[in-house]
Amino acid sequence: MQQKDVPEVLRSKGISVEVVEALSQFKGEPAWLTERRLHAWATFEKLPMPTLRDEAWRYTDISDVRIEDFLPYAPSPDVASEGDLPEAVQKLISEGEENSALLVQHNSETSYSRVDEELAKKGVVFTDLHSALVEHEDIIKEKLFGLVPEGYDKFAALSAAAFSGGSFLYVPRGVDVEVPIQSYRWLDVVGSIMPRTLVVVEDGASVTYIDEYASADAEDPAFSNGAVELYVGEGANLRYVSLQNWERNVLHFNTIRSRTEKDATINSLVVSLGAQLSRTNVEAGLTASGSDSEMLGMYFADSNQVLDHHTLQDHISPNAHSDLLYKGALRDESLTVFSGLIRVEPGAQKTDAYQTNRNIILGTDDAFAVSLPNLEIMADDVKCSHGSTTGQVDETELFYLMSRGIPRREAERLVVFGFFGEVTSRVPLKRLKEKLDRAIEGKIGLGFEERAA
Amino acid sequence: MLKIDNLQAEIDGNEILKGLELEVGKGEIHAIMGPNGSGKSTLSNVLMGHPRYEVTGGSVTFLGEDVMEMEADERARLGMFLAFQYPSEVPGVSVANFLRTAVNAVREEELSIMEMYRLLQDKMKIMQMDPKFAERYLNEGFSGGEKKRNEILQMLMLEPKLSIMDETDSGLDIDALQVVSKGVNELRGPEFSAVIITHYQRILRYIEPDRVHVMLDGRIVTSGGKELALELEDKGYDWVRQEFGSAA
Ligand SMILES: Nc1ncnc2c1ncn2[C@@H]1O[C@H](COP(=O)(O)OP(=O)(O)OP(=O)(O)O)[C@@H](O)[C@H]1O
Ligand SMILES: [Mg+2]
Repeated sequence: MQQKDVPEVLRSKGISVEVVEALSQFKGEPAWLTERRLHAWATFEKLPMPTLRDEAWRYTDISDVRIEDFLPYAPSPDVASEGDLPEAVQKLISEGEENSALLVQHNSETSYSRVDEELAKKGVVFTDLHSALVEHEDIIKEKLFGLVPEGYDKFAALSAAAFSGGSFLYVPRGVDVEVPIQSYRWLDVVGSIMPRTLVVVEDGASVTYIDEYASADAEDPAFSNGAVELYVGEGANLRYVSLQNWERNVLHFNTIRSRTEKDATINSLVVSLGAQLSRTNVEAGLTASGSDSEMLGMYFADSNQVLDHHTLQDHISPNAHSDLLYKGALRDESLTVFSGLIRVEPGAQKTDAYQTNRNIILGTDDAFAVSLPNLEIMADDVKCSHGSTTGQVDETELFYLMSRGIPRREAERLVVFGFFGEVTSRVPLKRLKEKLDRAIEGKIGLGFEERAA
Repeated sequence: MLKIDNLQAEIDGNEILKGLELEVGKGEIHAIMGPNGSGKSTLSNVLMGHPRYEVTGGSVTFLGEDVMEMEADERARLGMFLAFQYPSEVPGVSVANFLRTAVNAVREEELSIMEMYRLLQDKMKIMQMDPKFAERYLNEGFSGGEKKRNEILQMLMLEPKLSIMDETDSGLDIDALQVVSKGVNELRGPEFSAVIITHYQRILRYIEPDRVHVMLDGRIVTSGGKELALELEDKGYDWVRQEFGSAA
């Protein structure tokens, strides 16, 4: 982004119709997009802020979230090479998976992006949405807001109205991208970050895309509001990883929705470790026969964090398969919510759908895991199951390990790593796994409090 | 080596061990037999330091040290081992990873990755276990017999000075019984003692005990040589109850 003068209205707190207009103008967007934004803003204003009385927000109190307190936009300097990125971001990159394309969103703007020449030659596009509008306007016009529309909820409406930065990944028909593609969202101001991610994987193509959120430590609250739209074409494969590792001043809202065509496969992994409050909706639309969605999730809440996941396996077409496994650990006074639904639409015969949520509580009586697995089946020839468990680390398991000479703390580590291993072992990304292991290690820290007898 | 004196223990307020006496010398193999519910597994767990049991009286010393105040891992590092009647499943923790952690915890010096690998290969061979088991999650989905083999594999890896085997022979087919016995005999020597808890005299044909004890209602009520096992199998526990029940 050129360092044009940021309009005054974007430099003061709060979001308004003027902000939305100024933002669109500032970015030189086509008229249709300005209109969509304004329309979404009207929707946002119409929708009430969710409260504990809303079924989908029953356990997650957001009455303290004041969107009007945040700066709507924060610019960041363009950089010419990776070496000029903030040091913390360079560290993230060096610890991350090897990548064939990279994008860094710094606050509200994309400050750096690169696509390996070989991929670019094959027609792979990976850039921020605003730049993409120049060369790929048609496809963006067709797909943007298609899966996370303004009417989805209050936060989706806000995203559609006021998004900035974000990324567009396009993998042409039949192209197999072997090395993962990576984006980082880096926040180092008190303000807001509202990326939108649009991924289009054409028929027979395959790609792994990792989206990571991290920030500089700060006192004052910051606001993150994302929308991720994943289109997977016929026979195509997409592995999508969302790794939320914000500092504790951030309030995070994100909706990730996918659509899979015939014989397409999507493997998603949603990891929530950071933020003070984190709400993620993950929805897989199984819209064609032979489509397959693996949905993995892991979260680890400490202190008074609130980590909330709502999932939907939406079986619209017959003969599709979905398999969800979300695992969470809690310590201290944290709260986690898992609410999952398998919905089998009328006519979606031969659906094969599984859903499992497991939580372990580490040595405290003050943490609380809400687990709400649900089925809504409107077809009769289906195989569906769901399950949920929540409990303390099993004392007998610990005793077994300790009886082999392993000290308690080490035994607890093994059990927790083992617990998450069921998820991480299903993700073939070595450096990512190492990163997750380090994060778990950090969360376990100096061991748990004495558990209640 | 192991000295149990007037041991009393309870679980959830129910008294199970009611003044148990047992002494096992260095290099000795002892067998304990007794009807279901007589407290054999309770004894094993109490000896190993299971936190659910409360010791209400008596003492246990191992190698001259009072172990009752020790956590399970300390007892293990001192050289005690328990082959569980019902080993726990620990999802997500591979046998190899678990054994590496355990062996390094028990040994004074850490083994290199290569040494560890060789040791494990070696011991798995003795136990006739498929090397693939090393990568499987600890006991998860193992058959009954596989779990028992895995217990003895752990014993071979850790080389304890005293091994308590709680019905390791139950649920084993004839071949597996021989393999497990071979595993135990592998360690047999002047530095290794064992307490074999069993319902059958069968395993004692492969691992000859120095002493046989009969447990009834939380106590050892009679002891003898290996012929006592045969006699028991012949006459059943009713005989023991009649002879020694009054003492209980
Ligand atoms: N939590 C508990 N509360 C009450 N009684 C218990 C509890 N756990 C075990 N017991 C009882 O303690 C007694 C001894 O059990 P233990 O498992 O030690 O027997 P055992 O001799 O090993 O039997 P088996 O030969 O069947 O393995 C049994 O009567 C059992 O029901
Ligand atoms: Mg028993």
